[in-house]
Formats: sequence, C-alpha cells, structure tokens
Amino acid sequence: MTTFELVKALCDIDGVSGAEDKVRDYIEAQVKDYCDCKVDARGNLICFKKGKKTPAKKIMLSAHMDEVGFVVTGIDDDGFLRFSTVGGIDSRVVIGKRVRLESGIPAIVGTKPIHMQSADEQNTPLKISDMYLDIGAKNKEDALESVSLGDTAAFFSNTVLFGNDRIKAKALDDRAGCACLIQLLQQEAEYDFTACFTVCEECGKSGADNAAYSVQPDIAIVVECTTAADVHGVGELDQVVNQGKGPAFVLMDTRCIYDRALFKKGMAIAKEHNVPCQVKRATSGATDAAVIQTMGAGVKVMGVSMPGRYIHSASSTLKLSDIDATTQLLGHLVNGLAD
Amino acid sequence: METFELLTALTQATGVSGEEDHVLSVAAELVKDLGETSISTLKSLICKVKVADPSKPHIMLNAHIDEIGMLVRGIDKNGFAKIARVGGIDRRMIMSSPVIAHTEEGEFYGVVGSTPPHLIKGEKKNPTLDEVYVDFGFDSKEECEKHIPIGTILTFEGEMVELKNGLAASKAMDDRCCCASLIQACRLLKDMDTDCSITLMLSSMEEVGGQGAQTATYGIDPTHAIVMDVTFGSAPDMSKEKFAPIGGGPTLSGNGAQDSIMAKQLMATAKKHKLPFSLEPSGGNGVSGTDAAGVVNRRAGVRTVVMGLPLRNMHTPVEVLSVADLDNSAKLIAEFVAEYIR
Repeated sequence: MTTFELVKALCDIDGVSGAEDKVRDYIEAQVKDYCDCKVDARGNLICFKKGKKTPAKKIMLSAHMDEVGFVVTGIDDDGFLRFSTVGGIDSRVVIGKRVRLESGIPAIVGTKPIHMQSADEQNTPLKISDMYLDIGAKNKEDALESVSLGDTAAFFSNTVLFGNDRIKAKALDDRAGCACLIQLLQQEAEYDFTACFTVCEECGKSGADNAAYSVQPDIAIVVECTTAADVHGVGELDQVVNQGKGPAFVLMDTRCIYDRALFKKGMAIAKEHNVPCQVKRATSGATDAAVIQTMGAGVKVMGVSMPGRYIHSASSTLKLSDIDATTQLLGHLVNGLAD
Repeated sequence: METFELLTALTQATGVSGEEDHVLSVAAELVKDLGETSISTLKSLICKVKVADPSKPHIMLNAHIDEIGMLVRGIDKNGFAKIARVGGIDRRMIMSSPVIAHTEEGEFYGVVGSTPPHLIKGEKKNPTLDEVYVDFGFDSKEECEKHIPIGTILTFEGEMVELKNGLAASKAMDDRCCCASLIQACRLLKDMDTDCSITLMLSSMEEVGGQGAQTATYGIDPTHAIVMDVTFGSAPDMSKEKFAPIGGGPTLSGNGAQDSIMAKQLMATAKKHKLPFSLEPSGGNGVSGTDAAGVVNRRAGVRTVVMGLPLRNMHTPVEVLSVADLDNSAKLIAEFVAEYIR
C-alpha cells in the first residue's frame, strides 16, 4: 500500500473526538500482525513493537485518531438539525459544506442565498448556533428516523492527489500521523517501542495521558499535523512551517515546553541521516504532549509536526514527501534515542 | 432517462457563463432525439421539438444553462492564484472550498485559502474575493502557470448527493434543474396532441446579464415563452410566508411583466390535473430577475410567463431541491401547452 493509499483510507473514515471506533478498527487491522495490540478503557490503541534489542529508555510514539467535527444538539419542527462543533473549527469553513452523519447519511450546511444578504451579513461570519444541517427531512419526526441527538458528523471531502505531490482530504490532522506510525509498526524494528493511537485530542486532550500511564515511557514523541502558513500574503517570518521542508520539531506551544535536549538531539539525528526537517517557528496551538508530559512522575516529550495547510477544514492539504520524511525520521529517532 | 439521471448529467457538466461549451455538448447529446439542434451566436442551445404551420403559435421553453464560477486573474511568485468572480459567488462560504480548474490539458484541483486565522488582527470577517487565493498545490509561479494559464475557468466541486424524501443537492442546480425539467416536458409533448411550434432554448450567460436568452429569442421569434428559473425555497433562516416550499411544485405568479393570462391558464391546468404549485412569493418591480427580462421585449414582444423552481442555498455548491418538483413542472408545462397554445 502506498503512503497515499494508506492516508486516503484513514482520512475517508469518520472519527470525530469520542467516536473513533471505526478508525481504531482499521488501524488495528493494519498492524495486528506486526505487534501486540491492546485497547484501553478510553479507547486508545496501544501497540507494542518488539525490536531486536530492548532500549535503555522506553520510547512511546503517539498520534491521535480523532478529528474535529460536529455533534447534533437539536432538531426543529421542520426537521432541520442544530449542531455544535467538536474541537476548534472556524465557523467560516463550515457554511455551504457537506457533512456525513454518524449513521452514514449526508447532510448540507445550509445558508441564506446571497441575493437575500445585507452587506453586514456578507461581512460578518455566521455563528455555528445560527447554522443548520439539512438532511431533507419533512419534519422533526421524519428527521428522528435518521438521526438522534448526540450523533456526530464529520466533514465530507473527496480525498485527492493534486498539484505537486500533494494530498487534499479532511482529517489529515492527525490521520497522517497515524499513517506514519502504522508504516513504522509494519517495518522491522531495531529497538522496542510502543506506538499509541489516541482518542480525544481535538476536544480536551483527555486520551493520551491515559495511554502514557499504561506505557510508562521515559521519552514520548508526539506526531502531529500543524498549520503551515506558507501561503499567499504571509511574510516569511509568519509562515510557521513550510510544506516540502519535512517534519518540524516543536520548541513550545501554548500548553507545553518540549524537552530542549531532545529537541537538539532530534535535529542532530535528522541531519546525520539526511532527512529534511525544520523548526516550528511559532508557539501557537497545543498537542497531546501537554498531557503526556505531566503523566505520573513526568515524561520527556518531543514534538514532530507535519506542515499542513487549511487543517480543521474539509480541505486540509499535506505534501506526501513530508509524510514519508516523517516516517523515516521517526525510525531514526527510535534508534538514536534508545541509548 | 429518469429525471434524476438527467439532472445529474447536466449539473455535473461544466459551463460557467461565457464558457458553456462542455455543458452544451452534454445537453445537445441529451436532446438530440427531440429535434433538430443548433447553437446560437452567443452559445445558447436551440432544439426544434415541434414545427407547426407558421400561422400557428410558437412557444419557446427556456432555462439557462450557464452556472456561476470564477476565473484565474493572476499567479503570485509562489504559485498561488488570485481569482475573479463570474456571477454572484457567495463569499461567505468560499474559505477552504475545493475548486476545479478546467483547462485544455484537463482538470486541476485546488483549495481556496485565506489569511490563516492566527494571523488575523482584530475581528474575523468573511474575506472578499480579492482577499482569497487558490492553492493548486504547485511550488512556484512557473509550475502553476504551465498548467493554469491566466483566464482559466474554475468551478466549485459540488457532486450530486441524494438526501431524504427525494431531495438532492449539487452545484449548478441553478439552473440546470430547470433545463432538466424542460427536457422532460419536451419528451412528454413529443407524444402529445399539440397544435403549435415548440422550441427548447437553453440560454447562455444568464448569470452575467442575460445576453444569451435575449439574442437567441430574437432568432427564434416565438409568440409565447415559458422562462423557468430557480426561486427561493423556504429554510430555517427564511420565513415560510416569504419563500416557496420545497416539494410543493413550481411557483407561478401573474405580476410584473408576466403574461397574467398565461399564468392563470397554468394555474387552471395545475388544478385540472391535480399538479402542485405555489404562488411566487417574491414580488416584482416590473422587470424579471430572470432571462424573462430579455425574452419578453424581443422584436414586437413575446407573451412570457415565469415558472420558479424552489431551491435552498442558491449560488452555493450545495443547492438543494426536490426532484419531484421537476417532474411536476414538466407535466404542468406539457398539459398547458397542449391545451392552451393553439
């Protein structure tokens, strides 16, 4: 299976935070012949990979399975659904888009036509609370035959290859990270490591620390997808990370200062093996590292993030070469950090 | 062909105003068994469904075949394209929308991007068309320009999706749904006893001014016309009193520049054949917002009536309608033409 095929298969599955089951089932099927898998109480998938040697320091890799999405919170008398977001979604990328409900049926995020909008309405972003999902229901009773309150919905997106070596899909954050760990588990390993596929990163970051508790690692590498602002109209210093320049090591973000020694060692290992890498040049965002770091007596954490554009929308993009470079880098990091 | 299949074929074809060639070729193939077809100077499709003695009335059935879209107006040094609108693009829903560039080389995928949220100073606004760009995934101006020349036409990705109760969503329902309905009406009329000439005219450039219908009508020189276009369907953010129900049949109205006798005859036909319709809720100021404006005053004047097809989310890639409304409209038009246009 090519990287594109694997990432496409992962992104095409819906797994909004708290409803990651189908993603986990798929990942488990991909890796169960290569490692020991278990699912913990929270739904995290924990995969122990036996290598040729047991390292002095126990290494955990993690990527989250969940994606941002929506939850149905109400149904009106005419059969239109009201909803909230699960995770951080800019309301401006929701309107006029298509979503897929947990039951598999499609819905449309409706909007008042342009002909009826005032200038103020055109300028001011519509609030999620003023939007609705349209499943074509005749009335509330009819809608209830297809939907229940609390059902999740995910962005719908056609996963495509486009431009120069790029993939466009929903949920690349962080199914691309899951793909890297899957590929690593499927290869022979020099040293033992544990790969964790975590739940609920996008909504509370409440899954990864439970996984880390089971693993009790010395070092944790959090594999993520971050915002590349290397786009039209953004100055070089504000670009954060650039597509095509490989995975980025993270210094700090809003909730975590990553281990400085590991940061430097990681950069050195990448250089030694000629794997392209960069530094995330912003301290925005947060990852599972925040909760893994403070688990138990504390864990040294490293952040490795892929440069994604338009993440948390139906049309996130990544460069395939960046995904492949990340998988390669993770292999070298496991070996290089073992002693 | 089933109406839904016909609708899918038409909506999924490409035909942004002024560059309707692809959808015209798709439509020409779909109507070739209905009569002699031709393309007018400004690229409207004309199909002579029935040709009667010149002393008899001649009715033209019209819907527009163009769709809104965008075009590439420039490419920056890193390969991001700046765009201009063709027709009324709703900029509130443009962020992160997938688009397709149509070039001689083929189709290229792109994503509409805007200033990343963490770099926005002050309150968030919906970006204007000038503030967004299209990311075609290329790494330089040269690479992008090689595949996406300036002037390239873009459409939103908007596949057909079936909802509950025979409702469906797609791009370009405005106004390919009415094209589909009129084609079905012509199919019915082909086998009915009529006493008039019938011409199907699918017009270009409605979304940018109606130049297609105006000029094609001049050439066709009909005595009567039915202009079918989408109208505003009711939705939670639009009051039920002011907007037409989806699934309640087409809308009819006798006001404005429309021929009130034809409108009343259409209503009588609907009642006689138990076909649903609702009264067009949006008022008129004497000039139709549809191609009817350019049809009614051609040559010495054409007796013209407008039929509306209720639609939600107009001018988005997820325009929602009821397929049953298309079939009911087709039956209504066919029965009306057979009974009254003699």
